[in-house]
Amino acid sequence: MITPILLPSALAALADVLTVTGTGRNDFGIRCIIAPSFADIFRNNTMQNGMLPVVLSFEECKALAEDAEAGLELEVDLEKQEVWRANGRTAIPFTTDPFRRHCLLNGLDDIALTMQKVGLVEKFEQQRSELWPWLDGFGYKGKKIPLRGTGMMEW
Amino acid sequence: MRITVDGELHEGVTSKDVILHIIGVIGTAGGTGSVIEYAGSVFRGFSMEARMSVCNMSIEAGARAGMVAPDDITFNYLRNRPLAPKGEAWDRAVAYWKTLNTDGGAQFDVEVNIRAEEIVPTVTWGTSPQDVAPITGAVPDPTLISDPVRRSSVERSLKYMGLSPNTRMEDIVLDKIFIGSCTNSRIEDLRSAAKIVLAAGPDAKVARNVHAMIVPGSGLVKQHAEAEGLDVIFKRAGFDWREAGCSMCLGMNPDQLSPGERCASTSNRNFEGRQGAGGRTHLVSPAMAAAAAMAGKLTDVRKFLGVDLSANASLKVASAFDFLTDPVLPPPEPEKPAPSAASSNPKDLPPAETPSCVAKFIVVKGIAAPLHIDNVDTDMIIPKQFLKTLKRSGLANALFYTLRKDPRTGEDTDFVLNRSPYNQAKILVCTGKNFGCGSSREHAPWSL
Repeated sequence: MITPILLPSALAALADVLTVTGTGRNDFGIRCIIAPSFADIFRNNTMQNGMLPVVLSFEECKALAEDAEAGLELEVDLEKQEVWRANGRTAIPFTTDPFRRHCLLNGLDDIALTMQKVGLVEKFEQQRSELWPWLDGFGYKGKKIPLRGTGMMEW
Repeated sequence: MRITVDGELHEGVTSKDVILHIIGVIGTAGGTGSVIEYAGSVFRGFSMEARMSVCNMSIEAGARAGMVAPDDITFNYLRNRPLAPKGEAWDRAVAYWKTLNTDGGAQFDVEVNIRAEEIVPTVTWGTSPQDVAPITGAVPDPTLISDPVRRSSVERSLKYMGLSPNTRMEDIVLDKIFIGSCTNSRIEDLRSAAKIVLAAGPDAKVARNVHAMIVPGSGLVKQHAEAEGLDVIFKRAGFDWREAGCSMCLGMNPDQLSPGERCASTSNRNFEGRQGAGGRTHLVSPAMAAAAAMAGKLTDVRKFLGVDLSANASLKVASAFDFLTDPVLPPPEPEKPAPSAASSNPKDLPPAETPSCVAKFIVVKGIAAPLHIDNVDTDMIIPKQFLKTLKRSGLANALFYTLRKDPRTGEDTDFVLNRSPYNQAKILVCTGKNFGCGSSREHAPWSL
């Protein structure tokens, strides 16, 4: 059984931090990556940032890379789940998990999804304190853990 | 995914060798989509610290996490630790933890079985944690690889690493030794390295051609090691005994390799530039790192075994509990949040209204940049020196930095993203598999 530690107050604070950083997120401007396969954590990170990882076969990737080398534009349509190629060549279909697709089409990330369920989170936290009291830790009492020392952190 | 290693490990083979061997078998994408449970007599027999080194490197095997079923070794490790539950709460916790074992007959998506006897001390030769060889082996020959993508990836690795095919691993001469990192800098790791130094002889010194540093994993580990006299053993032999920290694992601070420098490192990643631009990393166990320090080159640690250290006065054992002395505050009252109205049917898609500012993705049209590299890792997408920020913007120039900037001149290279029209690309088409492997840094998608 998994017992995630979710504090609504901490999530709200995190959401604030992330919203004040503005909209210039996808900095280089690449919003879609097409590859034969992706590493798990990276794939999830892209989708948390409004980017779409598309898995296609090696042959399809090779064909699209040839288009790219010719300087041709591609069009990735997440509603239709198709990659459109220039010069009227056949579009290449792809699949996306329906939940992930919904999130990307509507700009939902994990924080947004969690905040939609804040009531359930609070109910869970109450149950957690009853069932696994040791997970509440020591001395926090709903406050932030005090940091000793100040200044920059060198790893 | 369950990886079972049964049998008896050879002497001199440690948990780091086991996990490097596993990654060599399943590859850095082998665990993709999985959490790995490590099972079998080898992991049952490992200490908690040895299990931690294995689980730590599950990420290098492509998995989300690694775990070993809790047992008496786990409970004894946790018992009486300052933040562990006490008294009746401890009994409840142990009873609960005992329910966490995998059910008998459970079906795993992937099962991997490895014989312990097949594992010898293992080192990496390339720029991915899956590029492993036994210390008794040699650098691979790319002309013998039929898969063209794999062959070019090996050729690229060997060029970066400055290695010729078929070079014996034991002939690889080193410049630096790094014993540290979250993978391998716990007290047992330091003890294991110290035993090799002692076995080398009372006057043995670190080889002239190497600089060897030891960085304890935490301030407590440092105190603990000093209480056991390990620092004296290391300093006597010419090791640099350092303050705790990440140090040369990832080169975010001044501890870095210079271009072309070669290091035997107990850390977890050997990607290009990981320990400094142009630096060459060979991943090894702490015992193998100590052996390499004494020999000045990669060396089979088993050459240092068989020395009886039982009468050695420099070895004493202290308890971790002597150093866990910070006061622990009493547990808090459980929070009682105010009930709020919310309902949800998990089968439905969530509401579309969002309190976040993530850009919607509906249709993206534009120039696509081609890339033909296998296992593009996140160190390659954005190197460590750009990670000291929590802001998601302003990282455009950091993207693929080591490929886009000439390390000597600082000028733009002819890498695809520097060339028109690809400097305006909105789409990246990569023909290599396992894109985005390695570190979980979210900066990678931010910079893209």
